[in-house]
Amino acid sequence: MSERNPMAERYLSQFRASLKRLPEAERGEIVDEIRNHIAEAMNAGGSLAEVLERLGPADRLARAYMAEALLSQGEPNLSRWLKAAGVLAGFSLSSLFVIPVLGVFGLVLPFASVLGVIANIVQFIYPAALDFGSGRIGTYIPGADPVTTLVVGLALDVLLCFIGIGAFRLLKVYIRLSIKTLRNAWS
Amino acid sequence: MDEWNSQLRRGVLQLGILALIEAEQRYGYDIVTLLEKTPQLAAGEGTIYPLLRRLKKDGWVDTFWRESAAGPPRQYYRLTEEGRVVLSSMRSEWTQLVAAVNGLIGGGSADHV
Repeated sequence: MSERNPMAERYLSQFRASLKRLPEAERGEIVDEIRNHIAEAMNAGGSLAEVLERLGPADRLARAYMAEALLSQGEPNLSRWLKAAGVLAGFSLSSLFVIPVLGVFGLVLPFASVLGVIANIVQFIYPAALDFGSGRIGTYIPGADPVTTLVVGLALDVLLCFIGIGAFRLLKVYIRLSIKTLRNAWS
Repeated sequence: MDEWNSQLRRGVLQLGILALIEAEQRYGYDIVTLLEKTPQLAAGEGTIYPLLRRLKKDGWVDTFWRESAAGPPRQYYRLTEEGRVVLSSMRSEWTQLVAAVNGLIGGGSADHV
C-alpha cells in the first residue's frame, strides 16, 4: 500500500470499475483487500506479474465478488419486487401532480416575467400604448404615479422570475430524487 | 460435473476457512497460503477472497486492521459468536455426511452406516 506500482494500480482501477453494481463503501473495502493481497504476495517474493496472474483477470475477480454478493441477499425476490412496485406506484401518483405544476410554473413564469418587464417599460414611455381600455398588459396600481408603477412592476417581474426558476430547480431535484429512490428500492 | 465440483468445493471451502480462523485470527494472504497446502480444494485467491467477503456479510466472521512489522497494515479475520455456532454444526454435519456417503459409495468405513 505504501509504494504504488502503476501496473498494480491499473489492475485495481479496472477491478474497481468492474465492481460497479456494489455499493461504493463496499467497493472501497474490497479493493483495499486485493491491494493488500498484492502487497503481501510481493513481500513474500512473488513478482507482480505472477501475483496478478494468480488473481486472474480483474473483471473475472469482480464477477466472483458480485456473484457472492447476490447469493447473500437474504430477502426473497417477491418482497423486493413488491417493495419496488410500491415505491414506483407512490412516485407515479405524486408525479401526476408535482411534475405538471412545477413544470408549468418553471416554464411559464420566467417567460411571463420577461414579457412583463418589456410591457412595463413600454407602458412607462408610452402610457397610452398598452391601454386597451378593458385590459392591460403592464402593471396597474390604482392612483399611483408612472415611476412608482414602473418600479413596483419591475420588482414583481423579478419576483415572478425567481419563483419560476425555483420551481424549475425543485422539479429537477424531484426527478433526481425519484430516480435514486427507485434505484435503491430495486437493488 | 464441473458445476457439481465447484458447488461442492465452495461449501467445503467455507467450512475450511471457518476452521482455519477458529483458533487464531488470520489475515487474507495467510489464509490463501494455508489453503494452498490442501490442493484438493483447488482454492485460489479468486475464490477465497470473494468467499471471505460473503462470510463477513453473513455475520459469521468479522474483520479488523492491525499493523504489521513486515509491511502495510493487515486485515485480520476472526470468528463471530454466530460463526462459532455455525462452524460447530457444520463440523458435525460434515462428519456424519462423509461417513454416510462413504458407506453409500462403498468407500473405507461403511460398517457404521
